[in-house]
Amino acid sequence: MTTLDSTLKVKPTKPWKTTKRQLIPSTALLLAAAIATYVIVAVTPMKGKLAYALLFFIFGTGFLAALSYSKRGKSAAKDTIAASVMLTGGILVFLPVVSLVITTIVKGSKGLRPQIFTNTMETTSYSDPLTSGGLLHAILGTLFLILIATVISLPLSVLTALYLTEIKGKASGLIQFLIQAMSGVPSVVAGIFIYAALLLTTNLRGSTIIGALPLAILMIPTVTRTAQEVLLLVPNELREAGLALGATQWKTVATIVVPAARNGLITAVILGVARIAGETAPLLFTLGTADKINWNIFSGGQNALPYYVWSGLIDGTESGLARSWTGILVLLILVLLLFVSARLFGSRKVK
Amino acid sequence: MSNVNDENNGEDMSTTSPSKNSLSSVAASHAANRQPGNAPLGSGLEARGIHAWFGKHHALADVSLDFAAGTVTALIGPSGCGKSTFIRTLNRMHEFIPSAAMAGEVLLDGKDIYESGVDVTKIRLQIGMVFQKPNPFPSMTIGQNVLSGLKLAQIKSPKSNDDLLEECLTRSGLWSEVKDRLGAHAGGLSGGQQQRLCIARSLAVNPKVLLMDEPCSALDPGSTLRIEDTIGQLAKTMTIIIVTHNMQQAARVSDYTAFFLSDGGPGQMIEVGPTNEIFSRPKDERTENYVSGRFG
Repeated sequence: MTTLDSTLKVKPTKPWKTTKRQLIPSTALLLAAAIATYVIVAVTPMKGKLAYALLFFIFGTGFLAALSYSKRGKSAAKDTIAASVMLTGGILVFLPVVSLVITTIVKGSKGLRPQIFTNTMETTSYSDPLTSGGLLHAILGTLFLILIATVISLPLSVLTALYLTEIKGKASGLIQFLIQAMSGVPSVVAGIFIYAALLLTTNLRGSTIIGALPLAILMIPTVTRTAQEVLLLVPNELREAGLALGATQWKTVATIVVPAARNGLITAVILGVARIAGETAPLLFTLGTADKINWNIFSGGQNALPYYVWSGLIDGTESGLARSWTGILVLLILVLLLFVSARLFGSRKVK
Repeated sequence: MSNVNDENNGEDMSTTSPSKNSLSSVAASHAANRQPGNAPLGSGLEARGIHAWFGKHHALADVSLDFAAGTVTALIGPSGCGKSTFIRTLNRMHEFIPSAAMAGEVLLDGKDIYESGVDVTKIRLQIGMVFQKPNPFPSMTIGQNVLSGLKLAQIKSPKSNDDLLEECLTRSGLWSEVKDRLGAHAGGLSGGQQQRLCIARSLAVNPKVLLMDEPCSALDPGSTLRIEDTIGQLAKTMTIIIVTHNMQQAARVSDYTAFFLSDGGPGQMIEVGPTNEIFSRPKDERTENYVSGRFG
């Protein structure tokens, strides 16, 4: 039993974690790089944050590469440089997002009070103090718009994607081309299209449902292309298995292919909603406007969070701008909540 | 090679040209000569002059083979010789591939399944298929997988769902392993269990013929043995045609063996006969080289 006991005492030592002692040289070198950067910016005409960042990148990479070279040779130095470049690239991409979110939170939280979720702008103007008014009507409007646009575009998009991936009919090439062209349409053009096609030529006035139409137009190519991708990921063996069991193609698609692609299709909808949730331009032509809650989606103007943000911006006063920032923050949170709930809902059944 | 067709009473041999199909006739007649009172169930399948193309590539040339009811026939041969293509023409899965084309006839109970006006879904109900890679439906539970054929083909079984589940899973040799977790997802099963689930799924629609396209090539030896047992059990009630790369497997499970080969051109059927003859004294030199392991 002594062997077993001594065996049990062995602790995992591999893979080798970097010890604190091993970190000392590189930390010292990065510190040296920071000091060198500071000195050089101080004595030369270069200045500004950009100079700091650039010099620190050059010094840090150089020093660490030299360390690797002295320890493990040329290829290790190359490895260090490559890793450093990639890390920098990652940070550069990440920075704007972080900056955007932080700015929105800082500026938007000023107007974030409980009352904005229960009040509307019915009796308040944008320039009034932040203690009055709210954006409940805009939240509801945005939810209506997202819902209607999804209801319109989801079936069309999924059916189109099924046509392209399952039926592969004669018109596939043309439809593929049109879908690609559609995804390049600027949102304002979609708005003007609906405005010219429906509002100028008929007695219709801007309303929730009319406002949702350009959004659906924008959503269709995104959802279609994503749905197409995920349907292509469904293994052909499953289609064959269905057909070999004596199913028609329609039955195979409906009971096997689409359920197998379910999570991907939910992602497609999420991407589509992300595409339209912040759209302002098409709404300016088609939504009409409202300062209070409008439950009737077929008539009367409506408001939406991006529209609310835009109105606050146009107002231009200090509290107008503060309302805009709050609107952006609420929109961010709302979209986040929608995505999280879609994910939870989507992954509940399939393990 | 004397023609034994004359004594053959089980199969409609009148359309077969003796010169070309003498060997396959032997296979068929052997089956027909099985013990009386032990009449096999299922249906015979006859392939007549099958050619297959992928686009302009001629993959399979002039294969005629008879599969007598209640027999197991193994199709062997090196990769690319057209075995899988051939088996896929037998239940019209070949046409699922774009650009695929074929010529010839496949007779099920004497009727050509390629005749215009034949409902292809009905054909596939009678001629089931098990694929090389286990492909249970990931969005369904084990039980739903077994019964999926009924739902997909919109047919009703005379038996209750529970009985059918137990029967199919028992016949595929999986019942004892999964009976307590029929509601679990099929993805949690091992590869061998998944393949037996796929066999159970094919059985639920009660096919007369079962095509198996290298059903064990992705499985470990233990699972392979289980599936071979299953094949032996199933052969009592249906006609089985199995493509395999494993010659020992062909020798273990089949009554008849057909050897396919491609000499660079389209694949052809070189020889067919009772399995022990193909393996002990094949008539064609190429067959002998292959089964003795000199190539392939």
